[in-house]
Amino acid sequence: MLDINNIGVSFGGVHALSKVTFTMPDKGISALIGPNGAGKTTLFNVITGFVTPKEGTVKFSGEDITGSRSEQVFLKGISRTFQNLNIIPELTLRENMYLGFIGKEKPSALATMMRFNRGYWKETTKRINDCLDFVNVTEYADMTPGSVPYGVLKNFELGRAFMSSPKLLLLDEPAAGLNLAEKENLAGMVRKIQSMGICILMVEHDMQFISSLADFVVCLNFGQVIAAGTYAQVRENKDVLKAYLGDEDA
Amino acid sequence: MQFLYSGLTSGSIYGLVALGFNIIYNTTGLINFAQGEFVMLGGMLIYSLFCVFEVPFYTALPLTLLGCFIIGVLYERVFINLARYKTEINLVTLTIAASIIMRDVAMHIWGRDSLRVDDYIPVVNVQMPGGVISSQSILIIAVSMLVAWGLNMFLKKSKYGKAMRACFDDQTAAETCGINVRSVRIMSFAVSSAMAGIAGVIISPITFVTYDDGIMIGLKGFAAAILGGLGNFWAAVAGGLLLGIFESFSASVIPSGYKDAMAFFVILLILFLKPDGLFGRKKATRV
Repeated sequence: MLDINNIGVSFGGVHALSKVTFTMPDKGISALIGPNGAGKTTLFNVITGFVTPKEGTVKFSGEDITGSRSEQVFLKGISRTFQNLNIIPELTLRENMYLGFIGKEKPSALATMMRFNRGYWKETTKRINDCLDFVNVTEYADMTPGSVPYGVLKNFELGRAFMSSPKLLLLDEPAAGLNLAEKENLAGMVRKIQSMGICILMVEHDMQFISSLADFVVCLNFGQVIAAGTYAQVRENKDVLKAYLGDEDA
Repeated sequence: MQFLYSGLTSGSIYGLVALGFNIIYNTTGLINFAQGEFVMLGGMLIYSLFCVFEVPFYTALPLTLLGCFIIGVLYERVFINLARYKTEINLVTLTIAASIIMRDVAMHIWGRDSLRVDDYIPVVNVQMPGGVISSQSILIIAVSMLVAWGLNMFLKKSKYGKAMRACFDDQTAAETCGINVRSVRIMSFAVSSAMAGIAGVIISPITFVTYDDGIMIGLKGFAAAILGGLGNFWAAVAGGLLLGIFESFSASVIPSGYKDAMAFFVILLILFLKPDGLFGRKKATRV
């Protein structure tokens, strides 16, 4: 599904990613872990076209997408959420949800404005309502993000990314800031999405959350891959333990 | 009442120009100081097509708007897109430079004299309570309101409108949703230029058209946008109408030579007392 090959990214003199290489399985849920500053979000930004790597390639379903613009990556079937919420503040959640769909749909401006294409609108409205319902935000649908609780917005962002029926969904710290009940609810939604055949790659710090969901885990530290495999394999890896717990000799 | 009618006429034009400022501001966060030059361009193009080449009005009008639309695209591609460092100050400076270039090119093509554009409709004075209003003024007010309504519908209901609003509010989120931010930016310049072209077309028979018309009408449109509150479309229309009425009434109490200064007096007043504009909303930020 996703081949990351020898990716290198530098910001000035800082090597954010160096020779990062791994292949994500074609199915299931994968996780990207590592201490703060390990380069996880930078790698997400490389995959989604927000950062162009100085070396290496990103292949998605065999196609080289390195250096593609963000909207092109989206059209190829990769959607993402953000560590810090990126929801348009001036639009209601319903309108924001429509944005998750907009890039892939091609009705004319006149048709969408004058509602000539009733079939399109009926179908789109149903899809928007289904997605709002799926992430449990229907009751907030006509509010703007400023007046909606944080946990609801986290769910919403997942719904918006899911709205475009992606092949690969990238979730950047989806459980951050959520309480236990909200996390369990989120885990249920992630499983449901995965059961629909959508691959998921998530960055997350909550190991319990990852252990309950991820089939494949990659650990980054200082911009390099230090371990990859099942959660149990990665957890036992000495370099991973050192990265999280520190060197005993230190 | 007569002052009110003439104020509404000029105010409608300021409102149209203010809408053009708002479209670009809402998608790019930029103030386009060449907006007035597109009004002049609309007037010049309709003069050339309708009066010089005697193209029928119903063909000349779409051709003029298409011309403004295409020049708007070229304007974005040349002046905005090629800027190496796209800081606000650089881009605003570029729009000022572009306005001067457009004015000079217009002077070389159409000359320095005021050009008279023939009337599109028969000129009739309609008796209204307390005064008269000409059929041309009614046309200007009606077209302005229609354009404002159409634009509002376009931005609120159409997917391009939503894309435009998304680009301004959060470019990252817009890109993540597959919106081509570059295309939206080009489209906003093109639509705003066409809108200024409409303003140029409808006022030409009343005010005539001169190569340097753009400066004053651009600045007054900007004043109207500031008065209403940048970023809000109906506020821009309201700002335009209020500015026009204010200007018209002020001419009755102070020497008419100071009429143009009123727009700048309004800008100063608003910036001192209510910087968000009369109808502007403060943005709430989650902390």
